Formats: sequence, C-alpha cells, structure tokens
Amino acid sequence: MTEAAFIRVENLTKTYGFRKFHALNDVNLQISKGEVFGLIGPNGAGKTTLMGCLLGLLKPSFGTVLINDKSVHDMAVKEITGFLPERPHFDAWMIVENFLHYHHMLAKQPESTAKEDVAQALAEVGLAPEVGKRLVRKLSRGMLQRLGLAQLIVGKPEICFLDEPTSGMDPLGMALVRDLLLRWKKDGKTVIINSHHLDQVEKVCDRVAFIQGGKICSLEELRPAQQTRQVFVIHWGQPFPADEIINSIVQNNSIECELMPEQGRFFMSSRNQGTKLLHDLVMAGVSIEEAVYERKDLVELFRNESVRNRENPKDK
Amino acid sequence: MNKAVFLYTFLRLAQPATIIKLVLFVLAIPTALVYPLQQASPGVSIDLEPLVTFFASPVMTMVVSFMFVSSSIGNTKSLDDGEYLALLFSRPLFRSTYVFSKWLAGSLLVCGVIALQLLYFIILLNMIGRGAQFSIGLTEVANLILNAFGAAALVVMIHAFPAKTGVILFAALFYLSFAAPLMLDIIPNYISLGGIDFRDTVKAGCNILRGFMYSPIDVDVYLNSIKVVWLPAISFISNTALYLCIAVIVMDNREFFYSN
Repeated sequence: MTEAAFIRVENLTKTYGFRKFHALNDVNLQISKGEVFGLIGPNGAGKTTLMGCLLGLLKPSFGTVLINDKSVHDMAVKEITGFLPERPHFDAWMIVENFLHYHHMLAKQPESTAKEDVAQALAEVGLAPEVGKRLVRKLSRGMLQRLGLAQLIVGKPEICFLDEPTSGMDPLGMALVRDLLLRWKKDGKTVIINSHHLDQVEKVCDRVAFIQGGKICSLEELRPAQQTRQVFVIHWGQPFPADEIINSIVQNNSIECELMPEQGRFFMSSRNQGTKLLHDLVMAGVSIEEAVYERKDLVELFRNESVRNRENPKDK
Repeated sequence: MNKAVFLYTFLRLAQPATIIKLVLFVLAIPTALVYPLQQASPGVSIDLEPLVTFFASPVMTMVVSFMFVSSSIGNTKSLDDGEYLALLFSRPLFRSTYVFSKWLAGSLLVCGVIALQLLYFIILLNMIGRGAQFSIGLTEVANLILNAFGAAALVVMIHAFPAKTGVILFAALFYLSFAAPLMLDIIPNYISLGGIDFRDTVKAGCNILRGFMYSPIDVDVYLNSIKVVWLPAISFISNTALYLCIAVIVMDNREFFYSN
C-alpha cells in the first residue's frame, strides 16, 4: 500500500480558532490510484475538513498531504483534480453553457474541444441540451447538483472529490451518480467521496474511513458480497433437525457453525458454499423455514463505531 | 493573466441591472454638462478644458470603480463568496494570477466606461456646434488610464478580504481619511498633548491614511512643469503596488471552504 499510495496524508492536524479546536487530529491515510474511497462519520466529525485539506483549500496546522508525491498546491495536481462541493452555490447570473465553458477554461482544457466537452458533460449528467441555454438561477436543487457534476466532468479530472454528491437529488439522480461513480471506477479514476448515503458508499467504494472527533476510528475494506466471509443463518422448520445430521453435513462441507434449537449460524468464506450447504440439507430431509445472509454492513459499522466512541471517549 | 477570470469579469458587468445603471450614468453627466453650454450664446467662446480634465479626473475613475466595476471585480455574489471561491481555487489557478486578472479587467472596464461617456459628450457637443472647441490630449488619456489602474487596484484589494471584513475595512479607512478630518474642524481646539495640537496631530494621521486611500496622478505636471515634484508619482506607484501586494497576500492566506 505504501509504495502504491497515490494520496498520502501524514500526521494531519487541523485546528480552528483561538481555543485550538481540533477538527482533525493526527490523521494518517493512504489512498491508492484508481481507488474509490469513502469518508463516513457523524456531522462535525471532520470529513469536510479532511476534504478541504486534500484539496489544498484549508491549510493544515500540522502534517503533510501529498498527491502523487507532490504538494496539493502544485498546479500539476490541481490540473488533474475535480471537486463537487456539497452546496451548489454557483454564479446564478450565468447561462449554464457559459458556466461550464468557464470551468472548461479554468481547468486548462483546449479551447477547440470546449463546445463538444460542454455538450457531453451535460449529457453525462442527464441534463437536456435546452438546459444549457437557461440561467443557473432557474435550475432546481437537483439540477444544480447535476450541474456541479458537469463542471467536474468538463475538467476531465483523474482525481474526483465529491462532497455529498446526491444531496438534493431524486432517486433517478442518485442512480445516475452511482452509475457515474462505477464508470469512473472502471476508468481508473481515483474518487474520494463524502456521503451520508451509506448504501451508496457501500455499493461503489473500495474502502471507507469512519471519522469521528477528527480521527479515523476505523478503516474498512469493502469487498463484493460474493468474496466476503459471511454468516448464513438458517431457521429450521418443524420438526427441528437432530444436531448429528447437521454436524455431519457441516463436516462434509468444512464449515464452522453455531447450532441452536431453532436456527443454525454457518460461517462461510463464499456464497458458493451456501448453495451447496442448502442443497445438502434439503437432500438430508431437513425442513428449512428461512435462510438469509447476515452481512456486516456500513450502517452497522456506523452504529457500532458511534456507540463505541460515545462510551469510550478516551479512545479518540 | 488568466483568460477565463479576465473574460468572466467582463461578462459579469453585462448584467441587465448593471447595464441599465451604467447607461443612465453614461448619459446623465454629459447631458447635464451640455445643457448650460447649449443655453450660452453661440458666439461666446467657452473654455472646455476643465470638462476634459473632469472626465479624466481621479474622482471620476474612483466613482466608476466603486459604483459600477466593483461588483464585477468582486469574487462572487453576497455570502456565497467562500463556497464559490473554493470551487475556483480547486482549479489550476494561482491566487496571484486571479488578483492580477481581476485588476487588469477592472482597469479596462473603468477606462471603457469613461471612454463611452466622453464619446457621448463629444457627440452632444458636435450636435450643439461646439465640437471644434473640445479636444482630448494624450495627457488626459494617460491620466485616465493610470488613475483607472490605481482605482481598480484599490477595489481589488478590498475584495480580496472576506466579504464583510472588506466592507468594514473600507468604511473605516474612508471615515478616517475623509470624514474624520472634517468633523475635527467643528470640535473646539482645547486638547493639547504637551504643546502639540491634538487636532493637527489627528489630522496629520488622517492625511497619511488619505494618502494611502487616494493617491491620484496628474501626468500633465510631469510634462509641463518646470519643477517636477516626484513624491505624488512615487506615492501613486507604490500605493498601486501595495494594494496588489496586500490583495495577493490576503488571498494566499485565506482558507476557502464552507465556513467562510
């Protein structure tokens, strides 16, 4: 990880005000090139401050932030960076196309491709060409959020910083963002996403950092469900099967389990094992009422970490 | 210079409300000046030199800078300031380049507005048959351009500060430079500091501030005077440079995210 680290955050501390409020406290983080990285945590945890430091908009009180071994203030870094702010307060007086053209110029993209890049960006975020002729102030909240994504796209960035990208969007917009993120992931773009929509983060991110009190409390790798060690919970139907039958099937399948009168919890390395287990149980005449996968998801992580930090504030 | 920021500053002035105000301003002063000339007898020769000087005067460049071009030079609208600049400075744009681009565009806008006004004035003079008496020399043009650059630099400096701070700073400087000395004149002079006149001391301080706030240049003095006083020229150049340096330093040290 260290050698491949594209974004490197070392001992990052950010304090505000005379009382030296620690918005970030000795944060260390490494993000690889092409990784989709999520920042989650409660409000006021320091996620936005971390993003501000990564973008070079906030100055660290201590520590370093390097992107591709360069300072975040280096113009070579800025040229490959795109940012979608949480609140889309863009120039209300501008015409949408002019606004995108302006950002195309700011991103130092060739003038010759401006028109087609703007049209393509509008199409990619699902805004009709007619919207390009409208004033920014005439757009709805969801459309503004899409415009924010479009201004990021016209800059053709390699690193995308998204702060609450689906804020104010309808379900269609949310799906669009998810599809965009998956496409960027496929294209090898590095994406740092700050979102409260944990299901969305879970679907697109490779890793997530849970931040609370200005510290990274936990760093989780999110692998596809098929590859994750999972717990298969099977509720027996009447009559309950004898433990001997179950133990014999479990031994044949090399699976660990916890048996209870009404249910069994089976620990498996992949979902393929679950299919085989079900088949064997049915063939052995075991009556099955319900069979579900119990997967540790981000909501659970969020809840557990929040509770743990509340109960043990000294851990922070 | 950044072409995008430069063009953006021009485009921003082209807002319907600003254009209406600008048109009224461009039309009003020349019309008001021409009216008494029209009333005068055609045979009477009138010295139009002071009018030429008036249009190219530092006061006019200041008025145009603060009343019309300021909103265009400003970073973005009202309290959304911090947010929008965050997006801007996430782009490959040096903050110093941003400041210089705004300054250059602002100066040209000031020159453009006054040039339009002068053009309209010349048209009006020709209409009343006094066009031949009016001529603009290179000195006036130089004065206009230089003072526009000075005034625009001051506006750029004020806008480099966070929105509210900039306004408060400017209001305080303006008060101490111009209003405070006038108010001192109406206060009886009975306070003395060890033999030093309190009122004169404060006035001297206010004059120094006024020198910082307002230091125009008159090219004519350097072209036609026998004895040239260089201090105003040095003051003008150093002030303009100082405004821009302060703007760059403030911009470089500001943090742009949601909280500001």
